Amino acid sequence: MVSDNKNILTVKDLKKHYPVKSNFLNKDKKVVKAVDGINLAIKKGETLGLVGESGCGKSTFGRTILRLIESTSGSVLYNGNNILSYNNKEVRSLRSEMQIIFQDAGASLNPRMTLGEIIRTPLEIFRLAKGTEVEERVIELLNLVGLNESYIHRFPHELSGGQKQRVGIARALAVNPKFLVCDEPVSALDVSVQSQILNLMKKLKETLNLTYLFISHDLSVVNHICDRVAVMYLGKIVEIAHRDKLFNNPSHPYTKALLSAIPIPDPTINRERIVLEGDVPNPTDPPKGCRFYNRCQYRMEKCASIYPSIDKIDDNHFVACHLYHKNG
Amino acid sequence: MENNKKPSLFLNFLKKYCENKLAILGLIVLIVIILLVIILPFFLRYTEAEIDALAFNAPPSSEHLLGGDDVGRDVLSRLIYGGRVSLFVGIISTFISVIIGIPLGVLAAYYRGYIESIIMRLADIFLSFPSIILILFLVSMFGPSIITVTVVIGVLGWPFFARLIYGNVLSVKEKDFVEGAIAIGEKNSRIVFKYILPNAIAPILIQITFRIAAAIILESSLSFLGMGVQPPAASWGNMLYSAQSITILTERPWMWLPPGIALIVTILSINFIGNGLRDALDPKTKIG
Repeated sequence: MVSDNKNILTVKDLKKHYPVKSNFLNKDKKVVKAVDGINLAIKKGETLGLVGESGCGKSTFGRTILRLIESTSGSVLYNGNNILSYNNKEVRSLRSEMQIIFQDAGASLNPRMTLGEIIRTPLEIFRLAKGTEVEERVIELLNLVGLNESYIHRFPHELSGGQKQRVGIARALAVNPKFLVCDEPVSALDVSVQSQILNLMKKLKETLNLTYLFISHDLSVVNHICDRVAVMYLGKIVEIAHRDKLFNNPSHPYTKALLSAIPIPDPTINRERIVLEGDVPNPTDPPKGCRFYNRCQYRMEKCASIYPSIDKIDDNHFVACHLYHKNG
Repeated sequence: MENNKKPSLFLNFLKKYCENKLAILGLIVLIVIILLVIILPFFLRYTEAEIDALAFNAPPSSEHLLGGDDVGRDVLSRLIYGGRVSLFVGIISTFISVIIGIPLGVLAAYYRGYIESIIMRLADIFLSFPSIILILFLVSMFGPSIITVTVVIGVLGWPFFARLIYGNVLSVKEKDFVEGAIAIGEKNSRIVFKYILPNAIAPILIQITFRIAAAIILESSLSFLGMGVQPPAASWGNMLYSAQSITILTERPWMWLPPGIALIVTILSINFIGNGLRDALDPKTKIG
């Protein structure tokens, strides 16, 4: 991936390994490789989707680049500065640039604060408004996410799931961030509400010039909102491509299997479904070569020992698979 | 909820508390007991230590409404004065336990690491001693008096609160809203006081009520063993235990029934108050 000036965020060889508790009889230290060497660039103004099954490290990745989780190694360049080397004070000031929208909006709001307090807090922390401006800005933010000002004195438990997520978005937007990690923002909502929230997010992105990292396991949602899509499997990115290319021409065997699992709302269409065999390998002991080796129907001899590098197979289309390596 | 006025959190809390009839009853009874214990001594004919030779083992009469005890002291006076002592020991010692236990438990849970190991192992050590023997030892070292009994029971009670708040903070700390607070740049101190403590404190209120009750009973046990409140000063504990022989138990119920009933009523009302507080402080319990 070529980095150019338009990248808002560049991730280089990012790793997050969790040590597994070893007892004193069993000294060999095992680690869970939740994020294991990710290279990624996010362009200003785009929405990059990050998909993968549960436990593959998507959320860990999203939190690591926000420094909500400390990384093991690698670098994250935000507008050219390595934010992983920032000290606590610098990280706090970074919070006004990068924000997160949580999956479980209800759990992400303090149940003892009113919505007004919740949205006002970031304004006060970064001194973004004074006196009566604070109240005005809170109302403005509520309106922005489609809630009226009567909600200002309500508590989170008085809201529906969709309304809670709207508040979560309003809180994230209060500091005028440029980059948002959306950690499965709609997967806890029912379908009709999902589309409302997605359309709201789309609209906000246009009006506020935002950049999204959109983490999801729902491919139809990703297809709806993302410009580019990265597919993650067991801590690594296996394919990254422009949305249309990925959906029309999935190349990695894992991506193919994922796409074949999207339900089509038409029972007369017959489609060959790729059913994966076996389980996701234990992340403390992933396969030496390709992570997908034990479940792949196209596996070759070298897949067992050599991890395939991620290579360009087309414009805006990168795959980590030996099937596409021309030489060697 | 069409009004745009900010509903006072306290009023809301009060409204919810009043929904619970038992909690109201407990509060009223406790207030009455406290008032009686404070005001009545000014009007009583006898003090707790005054001996009336005619009232020796005397049953209730118009002179001694609750009779006299085995050395001729007025049981009613002792009941009221003893209530002062028992409530003082229970409330103040619990207050001491809370003041020590809560900060330590929060520190241990929030910062983890070696602070956690030190504090929580210390709590385990405290809890692993049979508390009555430790209290006996300490009280005999400092000399038995109301103050030493209170302080010793208070200091030894901290692990109950430290452990409870520790567990709660650990679980609340992992909630998304704490991560949300970090994500919007909140400072550690504000995260603890605005996000974690308000969501972790409710069970402590129940524990406080239990602990007040337990401290009152502990004081009674100490009094019985001669290391608590020393006669002629009265406490419900030493009244109960001085009236322990089989003759008194079967033939002179006026000596032990009043302090026993007072103890039960007080402890029950405190527990009802605790339950009411818990429900009222939980924002998820709705009014009506």
